[in-house]
Amino acid sequence: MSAGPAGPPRALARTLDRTGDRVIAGLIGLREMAAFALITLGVLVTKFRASRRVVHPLIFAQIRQSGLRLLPMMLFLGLALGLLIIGQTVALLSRVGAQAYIGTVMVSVLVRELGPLLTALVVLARAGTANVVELGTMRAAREIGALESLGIDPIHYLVMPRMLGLALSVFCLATYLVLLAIVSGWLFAFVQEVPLRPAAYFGQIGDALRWQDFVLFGLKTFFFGVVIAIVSCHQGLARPLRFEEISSATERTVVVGLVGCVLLDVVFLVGYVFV
Amino acid sequence: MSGPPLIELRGVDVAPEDDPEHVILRDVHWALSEGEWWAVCGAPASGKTALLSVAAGLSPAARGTVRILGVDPARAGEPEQMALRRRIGFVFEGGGRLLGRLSVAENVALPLQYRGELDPDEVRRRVVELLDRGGLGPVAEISPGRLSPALQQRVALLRAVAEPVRLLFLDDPLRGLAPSHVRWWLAFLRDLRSRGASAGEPLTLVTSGYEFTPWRDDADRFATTEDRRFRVLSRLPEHEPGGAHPASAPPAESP
Repeated sequence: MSAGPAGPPRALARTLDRTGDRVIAGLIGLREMAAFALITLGVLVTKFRASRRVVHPLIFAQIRQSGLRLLPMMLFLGLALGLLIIGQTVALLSRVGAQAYIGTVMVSVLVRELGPLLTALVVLARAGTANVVELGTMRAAREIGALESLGIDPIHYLVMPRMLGLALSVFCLATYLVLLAIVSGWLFAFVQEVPLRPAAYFGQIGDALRWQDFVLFGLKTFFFGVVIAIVSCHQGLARPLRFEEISSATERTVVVGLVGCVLLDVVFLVGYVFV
Repeated sequence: MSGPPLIELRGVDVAPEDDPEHVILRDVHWALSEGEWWAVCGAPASGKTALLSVAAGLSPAARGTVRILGVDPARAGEPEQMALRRRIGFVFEGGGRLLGRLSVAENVALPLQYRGELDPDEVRRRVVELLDRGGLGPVAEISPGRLSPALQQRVALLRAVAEPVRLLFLDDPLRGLAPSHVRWWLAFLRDLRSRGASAGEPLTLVTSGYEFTPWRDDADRFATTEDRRFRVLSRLPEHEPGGAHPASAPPAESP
């Protein structure tokens, strides 16, 4: 055994090599995804009105699939979220006599952070994964090549409707979730016999909301949908794929989508600080 | 047939789409003129599919020059590419790569709907007419996955000719078909060709396969892909490429 003293440095070098390879592969993947996003944006701008009879119904179909079908799940989450937030904060705020801040807490926690992010994660798990499986299957069955042979732009026909549909769905679902959570929060406070009149509760929330909250909420949820669409469509379409690779592409979609949404959330957090 | 070639390949090396480093046909010189019916035959994996894909502008050539209807597809912008695609039909082998989420009728209607130039009633009328010609009216609303591969291939043909095309590529369309299906295909293609000729827009056909036998009476130009070479034949060979004999054709499936 002559590995002796040369062993540890070699192992370290191999680890560094592997780490470097992964970092480079990650950066290349990021660059590819950015290019894919720009191409999609270009198609959106130049072809939005093209082939309306075929493409626009696909936007509504995407809204139906990733929006309407998630309404029952959002109802459950909205009720639970309001209950959890109020349940945790009312007792604490009552103890220090700061019940006037319940509305502020709801706005800070629910409207600015938890509502949009939770909605995005649910849509990613449900619609993003469905997207990558569907597109990956089409790619593996070489249906994308068939579309191109017919003169149909796959980005226009497959990606653009998904991007718009998902962006609108996340925005609408997040709005629905936040409204439900606010109402369920008051109901929980009422059941707990917290001395908080509805007018005072909703007044506090109204006072805590600034115009920037509406703008950033709209932008944030819209771009969460865009991130989910770009990540899932890129994983499903951008590279040649075999049927057996679809499951790993789905896993990558969840991981990359999750990281993408959280990073975007951080960007918006910085936006809140400066606006 | 005369006139300038519709498609010209000069010194082209051909590689499969999914393995561009692996050249399977070298130095291809091929000119296709208007109204010709080419039969390109060769053993399996001899490069027929990749050659047709390059000639139709669906895949880039590994080397050499390709001109399709006067356009170099490698340098064409998107509008030119789209204009080319509208004039070239392509039927893929093995089921035609139909869209599994759409019905049979929706698959055929897709290119017409996507162009957006016809009103929905006209699209519907054309699709019904095409499906009737293909004997597929009763299965118009079902998913193509429920059809046999032979009928899926037929749907792919109808989709490819839903719009009038100048060039039609058919990649091994008769493989594994029962004699009744083969007769239908040949009759349909003859009819398509005669309709084009009578409308003053002669259709150029390129069909590929394992052997020349089915195309003997209809094709007027023949070529082989053997030993990494593409050879245009001056007359039909007595023996099929790769030593194949009609008797060794794949077993026919029931209609």
